[in-house]
Amino acid sequence: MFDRRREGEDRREELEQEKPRFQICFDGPQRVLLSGRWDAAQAEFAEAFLDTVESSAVVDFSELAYIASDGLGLIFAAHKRLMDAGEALKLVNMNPHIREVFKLAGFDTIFEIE
Amino acid sequence: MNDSCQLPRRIAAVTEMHGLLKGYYEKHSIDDHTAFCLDMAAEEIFTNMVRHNESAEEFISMTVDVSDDRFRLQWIDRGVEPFDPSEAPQVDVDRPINERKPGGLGLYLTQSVVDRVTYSWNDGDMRVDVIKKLGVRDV
Repeated sequence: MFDRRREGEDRREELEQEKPRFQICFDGPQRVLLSGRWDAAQAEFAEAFLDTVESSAVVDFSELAYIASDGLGLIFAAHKRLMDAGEALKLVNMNPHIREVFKLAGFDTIFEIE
Repeated sequence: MNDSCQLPRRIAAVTEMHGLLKGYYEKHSIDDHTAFCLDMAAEEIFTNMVRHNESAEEFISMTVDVSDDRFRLQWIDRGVEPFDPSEAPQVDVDRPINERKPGGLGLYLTQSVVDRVTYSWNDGDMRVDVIKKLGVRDV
């Protein structure tokens, strides 16, 4: 059991030290590399980065283990903004779990996915 | 087995929640796909509670209950208004990009990746139960 407040605080400190890191960075001029776990806590950082993408780019998911609807929404928003300017995002190297989520969301017909 | 914890009402706590759940996945040898689906459902439900019930109590209760054939999660959010998921906007994932807006997928994705999601409200307490069958690949 970990329902006592003190135990919870201790566990939180442990998790803070071991939590998987999410990263989003440029891996070349037109390539964005995602890694780690993209949960809702990463939204502000991810959105600020995606706002800097101003032309067509490949988004490499090869090192991304997890994404949820917040991340999907941000990728979609960036793609739609770029599409309005005649540009686009191309998504590559998704793991099978992430690819299924994109399909569930209907994004497999909106994005070019490899 | 059945364990409970109190999660602080802030979006950043979703990472902590995933870390706690990871311990159960490892303990019960939950496969990667099932763990991914449970993480998604847990994230959507928890973050919705944080975002839509800002004036509620400081902590949100989460209970984990694992048996041989199913993984069950329950959240209790106290001091909140009722939420009826049937009134949430419907998602049409077949619409073209120019007719879609970012967001609005959370409830739909949650219901898609687990076997059952049950919402109930009584006297200010909102309970959300999620059940994912184990050993069954349905997504």
